[in-house]
Amino acid sequence: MNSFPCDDELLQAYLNGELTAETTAALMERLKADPCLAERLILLAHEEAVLREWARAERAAAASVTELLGRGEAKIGGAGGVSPSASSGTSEGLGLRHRRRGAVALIAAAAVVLAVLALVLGRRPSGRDSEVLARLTSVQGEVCLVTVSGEVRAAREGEELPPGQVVQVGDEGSYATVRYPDGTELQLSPETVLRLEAGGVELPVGKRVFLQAGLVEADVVRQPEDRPMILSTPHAIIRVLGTRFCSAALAEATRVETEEGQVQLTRLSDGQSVVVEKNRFAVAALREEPLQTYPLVPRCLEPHAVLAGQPGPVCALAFSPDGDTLAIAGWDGTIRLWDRRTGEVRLTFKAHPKLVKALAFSPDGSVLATGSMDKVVRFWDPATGAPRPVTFAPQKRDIDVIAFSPDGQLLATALGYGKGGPGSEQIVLWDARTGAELTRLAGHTSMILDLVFAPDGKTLATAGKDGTVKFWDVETRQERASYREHYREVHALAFSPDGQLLATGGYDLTVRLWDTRTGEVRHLLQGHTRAVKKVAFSPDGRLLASTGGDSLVRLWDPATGQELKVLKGHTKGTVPAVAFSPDGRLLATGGWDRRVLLWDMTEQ
Amino acid sequence: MTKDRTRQAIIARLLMQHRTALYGYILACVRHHADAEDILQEVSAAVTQSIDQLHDERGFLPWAREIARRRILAHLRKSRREHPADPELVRRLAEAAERVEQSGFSSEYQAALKACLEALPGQSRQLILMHYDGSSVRVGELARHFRRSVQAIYAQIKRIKMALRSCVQRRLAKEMD
Repeated sequence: MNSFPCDDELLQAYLNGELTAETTAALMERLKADPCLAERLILLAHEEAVLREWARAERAAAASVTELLGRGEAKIGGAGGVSPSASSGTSEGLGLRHRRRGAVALIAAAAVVLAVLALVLGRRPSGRDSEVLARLTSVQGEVCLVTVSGEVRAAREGEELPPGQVVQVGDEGSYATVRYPDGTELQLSPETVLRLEAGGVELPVGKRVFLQAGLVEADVVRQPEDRPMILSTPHAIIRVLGTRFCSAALAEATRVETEEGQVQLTRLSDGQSVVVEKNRFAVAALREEPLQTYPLVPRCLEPHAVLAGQPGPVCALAFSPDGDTLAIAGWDGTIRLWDRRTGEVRLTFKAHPKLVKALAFSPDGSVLATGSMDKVVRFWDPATGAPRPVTFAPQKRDIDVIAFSPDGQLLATALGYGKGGPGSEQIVLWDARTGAELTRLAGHTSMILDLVFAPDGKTLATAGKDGTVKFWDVETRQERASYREHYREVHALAFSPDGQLLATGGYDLTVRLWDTRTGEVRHLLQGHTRAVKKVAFSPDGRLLASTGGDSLVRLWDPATGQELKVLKGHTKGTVPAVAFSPDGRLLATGGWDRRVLLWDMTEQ
Repeated sequence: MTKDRTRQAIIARLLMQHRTALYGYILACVRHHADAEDILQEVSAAVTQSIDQLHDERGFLPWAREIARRRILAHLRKSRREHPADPELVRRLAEAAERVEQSGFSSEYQAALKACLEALPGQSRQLILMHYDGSSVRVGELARHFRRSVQAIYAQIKRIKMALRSCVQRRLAKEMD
């Protein structure tokens, strides 16, 4: 395809809509009959696409660097007189698209954000392709390199990284280290995608990397004052002169923790900047919360005891009301009852043929209810492991969450995946004495991810994949209020023991503390670097525990919203289960690392 | 969530990688930039929603192009321009796009074009930037900005594009040597 006998000018006029109706009709017929002509039209259209993308990237690069770094001196090289206009900036451009296509899925918007940013940051002066920017000094597990042309291959240790090189780190257990010649090091965690960019020639920046997703720990040696290192994410630009910091870019937000020195974090959505000093962190999200820094909590707590060797990830845990027994849901359908006094598992019984996703003790402790992937709720005698003579109608979906009302009369369940039958957006209320279905509460538009009764039993709170938190009147079975504060799905709910606070945790990395009387969010708790999966109040209401996809458990002061401690012990993946003992002295957490950890809360 | 996030990253990468090819195909069929943008957004959303149907990343572009083909036809039927929707032409252009992609020539062409764009002298660069940056600057405004007639601006853009094509040909020929 080196020569093109076809008529470029005619095709260009066709693309521009400049031909008469007759000529257009004739050319359309020719295009159908002449493969060469059709191929040439495609190439010319590609050319148009490249010109458009290039122009937009140039414009956005000028706008973002000028406006976001606040220097006011960056210009598009050689294009004197072209001043960055608000309408062509990245965030405004996307805003216009959102207005035009409001219904487009968020993920598509995210893809556009990434695409636009990729163009902004992918710009590089010609003739620099062969330059080596850095080296992969360590590779562990599954690490791939994606070249500028999109070719993917396995990475090797010691490999040289040119501009435009994308490093993709695989699942759990995979890591990579990128080292620049000046000693600056970037540690890439699992599921991280990072692209190295050439330093700007025309722009006042030095090292540039684009963190598309994942977690990077950076140890940056002193950079020249006029050429800082720039780490960009889909939500923010981080400007570094020399420091140790850690940044996580997720679907909804970018978090930066500074260990030494300071970094400047600038949010892309509105250009707001904040300096993140040593031992502080900040979170830049797509939506506009006040951009501020918070103190890092250096104190970590080690687990008091480890119940290893679980048959698989632990999805649910519950303490019996007397506090003597911890029920552990098994991946293999078993229930393990751990005796707190002896420290041993006193009973293991097969409750379901498939994994147990939910469990709850009745308030009097006489029943352990379990829900499973086999779509059935079952009742058990926790003393013997024998089934209770209460039968529940099988559902067509997994039983994901179970909750007893405080008086033990009602059982509420949330349904998960499955086909057919009433949808997972409905809550099922059962008579806990007979197993009869009483009603279904409809109102959520998507799957219900958690539910909990208020301590007074009058309210049921539910959290949905639709991002809403709803309050239901248990007596009338009517929806009383609906709130939407989290950007995305709400995974977790917990009432404080006095019922005055509701804690919610979500995909947007935040925990929110709500005033249940007014429906207002009192505190926004930011710390997790992956989605928050569960929340639990201590029985005295003085502590709130949250668990996340970042393998960590965080303890908060619900009165102030301050983070108190980080509990590090789970070795990988999500921590989907958490429970305080009724005396508040123990906290149990269950993780995807197949372990239950017990934490001593006596000194907290 | 982990799977969701990984999937999201994969979709974003694939869309990023093939955006130009998809946009080019759509533009060749609808011949209108704003419409092509809209359709590309629809395709991005559709791809995101049905990515589970894709079993091999290597098949992404043909699969996404097929989604685009259907969206283009729906758009052409709806827009009722002077020429009615021609499904055969839309299909032939999809076949041509596939041949261009298979040849590998498209990516070389694009890389060379980007290099040539970087080397454009000042005013030419500014003109191309203003004409293509999506800020909807009309040629009339460009003419006022550059103190030239509208026809002169059209002619200038044509000349710059011809110069760019020559530059691309030279670069590609050099690479083959």
